[in-house]
Amino acid sequence: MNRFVILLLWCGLGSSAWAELKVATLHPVLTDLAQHVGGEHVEVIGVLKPGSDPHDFSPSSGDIRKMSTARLILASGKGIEPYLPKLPDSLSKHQEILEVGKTIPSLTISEENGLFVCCPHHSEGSLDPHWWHSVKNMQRATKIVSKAFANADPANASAYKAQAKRYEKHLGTLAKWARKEVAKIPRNRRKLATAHAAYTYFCQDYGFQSMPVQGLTKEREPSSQYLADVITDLKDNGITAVFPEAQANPKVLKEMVRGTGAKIGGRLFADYTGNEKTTTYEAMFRHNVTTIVNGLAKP
Amino acid sequence: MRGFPLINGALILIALVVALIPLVRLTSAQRAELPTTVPTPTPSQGIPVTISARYAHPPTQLVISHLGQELWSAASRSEIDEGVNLALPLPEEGIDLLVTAAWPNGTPNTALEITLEPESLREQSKVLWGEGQAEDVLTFQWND
Repeated sequence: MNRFVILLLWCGLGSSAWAELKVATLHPVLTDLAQHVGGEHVEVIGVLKPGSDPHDFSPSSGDIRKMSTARLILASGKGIEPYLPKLPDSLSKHQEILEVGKTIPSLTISEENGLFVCCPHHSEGSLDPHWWHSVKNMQRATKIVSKAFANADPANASAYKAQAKRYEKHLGTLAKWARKEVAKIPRNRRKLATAHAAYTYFCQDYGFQSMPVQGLTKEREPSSQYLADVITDLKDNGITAVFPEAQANPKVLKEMVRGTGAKIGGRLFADYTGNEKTTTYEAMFRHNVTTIVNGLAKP
Repeated sequence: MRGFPLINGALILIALVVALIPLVRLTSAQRAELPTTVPTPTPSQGIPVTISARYAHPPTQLVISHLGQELWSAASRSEIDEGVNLALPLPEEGIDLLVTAAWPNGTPNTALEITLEPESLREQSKVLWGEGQAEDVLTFQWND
């Protein structure tokens, strides 16, 4: 009997049901961040699983149920969660939604920050909501989350602060590694042709010009005239590699490679932490940097 | 003692001709070696640059690399003080230099200033901070 009680206690203490704070996250990057800052004191409920696309996501009734026990809900903000304004209607009054990206300085998708080979200009004038592609912004987010956890659970405020500091330092090492890696690419070859206008923050940090190209996405097949214009623009801008999405149209890619002589770089992860190998923020970021360096360092 | 003026004149003429031969060779050779125009190095080919370092505490080692190639390695104070002259491609987007430095044990966190003086462009300095051993990428740009 005694053994049974001890086992029950051990199981109880070992599980996160004893965590002092419950937090739900609407993006896998925030799930990872919340786990680093919260440690053993926080139970993190990841509503958006790794591999899901936040652009297409809308919480189901099951997701709302999962969120119902969380004191704090972390969202990316900057408009990437279009359902966010309506979400409070489905939550109770004691629950708080924190848009982590809200106070992080925004970058606009514009000709100033990138080269446009799309006709019409892809998303021009809108905010790039993918703030986490800058490690500096992740450090800002770490501070924001630490403060929110401390407010929600003051008893563990010092633990959150210490864990956040440790993670910020770790992110600093990651940023230094990225700078060293990117330095292998000549600055005049730093043109990032991607499927998605999602790398404005990354491009600003490492001296790239972003070139979002329609046709590298799974979403649409471009007209032959558009494709011809893109090929001319890519050639004029001396693009040596393009980085498509996973399910890009192979016919379009083949045509671009044939027309420009550019190579196909690997797949980048823009909106989510990726596949089973890149389930943390750090793994995703390292994957993206390595892929870009491999694609652009050598002509 | 006075000789024949004709013989004397002939001797002077011979001496002058003998003296002129190397002079003519020298001047004509110089003319042949002189290029018609002096080639100006373009930024993409590489322009002459002097790299120098200033410090509060002397490093024991300094290595500067560009695109994976070592540009300058100095392992003593005198080598570091000497600086280096080389040719570097300087596109308008600028260049990233990977700078690695080491200081003796016990040296406090200190600054190492790296200065690039490219021909016909303004000089630029960037600072690497470190303690023990430090490594970072310093970016030099001339289009701002």
